[in-house]
Amino acid sequence: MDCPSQIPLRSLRWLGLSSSTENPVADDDADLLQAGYRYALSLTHRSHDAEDYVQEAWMKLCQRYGRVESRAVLFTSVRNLHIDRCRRAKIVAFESLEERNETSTEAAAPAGEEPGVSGDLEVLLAGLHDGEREVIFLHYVQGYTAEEIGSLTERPRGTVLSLMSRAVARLRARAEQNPRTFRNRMLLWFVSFL
Amino acid sequence: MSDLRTQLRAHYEARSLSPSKVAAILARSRAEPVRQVQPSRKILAFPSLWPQRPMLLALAAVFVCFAASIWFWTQRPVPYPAMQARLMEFFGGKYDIPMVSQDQAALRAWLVARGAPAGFEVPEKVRPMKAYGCRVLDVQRKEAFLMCFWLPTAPDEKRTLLHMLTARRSDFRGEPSSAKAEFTVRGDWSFAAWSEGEIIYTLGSMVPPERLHPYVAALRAQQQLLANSRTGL
Repeated sequence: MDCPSQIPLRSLRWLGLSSSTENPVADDDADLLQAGYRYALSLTHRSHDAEDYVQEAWMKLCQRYGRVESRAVLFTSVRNLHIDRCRRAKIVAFESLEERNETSTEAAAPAGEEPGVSGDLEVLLAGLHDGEREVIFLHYVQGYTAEEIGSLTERPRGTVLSLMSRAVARLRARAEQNPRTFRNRMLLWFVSFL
Repeated sequence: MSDLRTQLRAHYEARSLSPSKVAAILARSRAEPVRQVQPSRKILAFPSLWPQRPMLLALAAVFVCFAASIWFWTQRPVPYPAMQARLMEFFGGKYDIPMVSQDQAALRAWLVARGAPAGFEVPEKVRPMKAYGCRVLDVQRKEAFLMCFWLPTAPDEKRTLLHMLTARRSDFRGEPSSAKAEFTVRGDWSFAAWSEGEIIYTLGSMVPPERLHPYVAALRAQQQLLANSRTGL
């Protein structure tokens, strides 16, 4: 992940109230923890790291404020931890220009009903960058809009949309290269040939 | 095949923290005391009075030294012989006298208005001579105040000017330091120079030095009389 700047928690608390899928009052702590874990998983794609992130973020917030106020606050804290670790480990994700050019024109908002992809999602998601996984998780799983994701990740809305469509395109491209898909196609071709 | 949203939700919901882990985290967080965090204060460094860039400071110091040396150079006194040389040079070519008048009082007032020492006097023997004009001469950025008179000549003789230069003593060095006139001959020119207080007088003309003696002799007599009156003799 190319390390962006960390986001102050208070600037994003509104997200916890404005999200269409989230009611902070109804969220109990266990649900919040699970949501935070899944968000951390979308960032790292490693369950151990995700556990560490969510535990550390949770403890920090509880020590500082006595409780975790909302999902957005937890997400922001997790994200800041991730950025911090990336900086310490000097992890920078590089994206080739070819990859960027392939999808640079697809900046439109994804359609409401995206057709599914075939193949193992775990493997497919592993091939995406942290930022791409993150926007996919926030949009498709958590239901945040591009505007809200932009505020959460300090990116312009256009960039979020572009990132989202690029992530979906890459997901599909990887699914196309999946050997099982290839085998099915060959079978289909063979049947139609007969 | 379901849509992507459903697939992704199912994928992430299948992954969750174990209940024991959740319970452990929650128990630990409830056991931790809340630390009162002071609102963070941003400390702004006061800008240093000492300039941050020593190179700029060095350049400024060099510039100040250079300007000061130029100022001292322009303020230093000019060698006195330069005044005589300037007079010769000025009348060596086509010269310009901006104030032409036969009225000596008017010429004197004109010069005093342009910075001439207020106490300067035309020597007694020169006063009867016919005045021609005056101007301010620039001698290496120092001012000398020029008055011109017609020397009395025989009818068949070419008319010649007698020039009287007045200047401040502080502007020149190596000047005559006494009231006793010093005679100098430079080419066709003869000069007689003396000083009174802070004023330097110079008489110059393109005549032999003997022609200047009468005017300075009168001066010497006058000086002697003045000195005697001061001592009470």
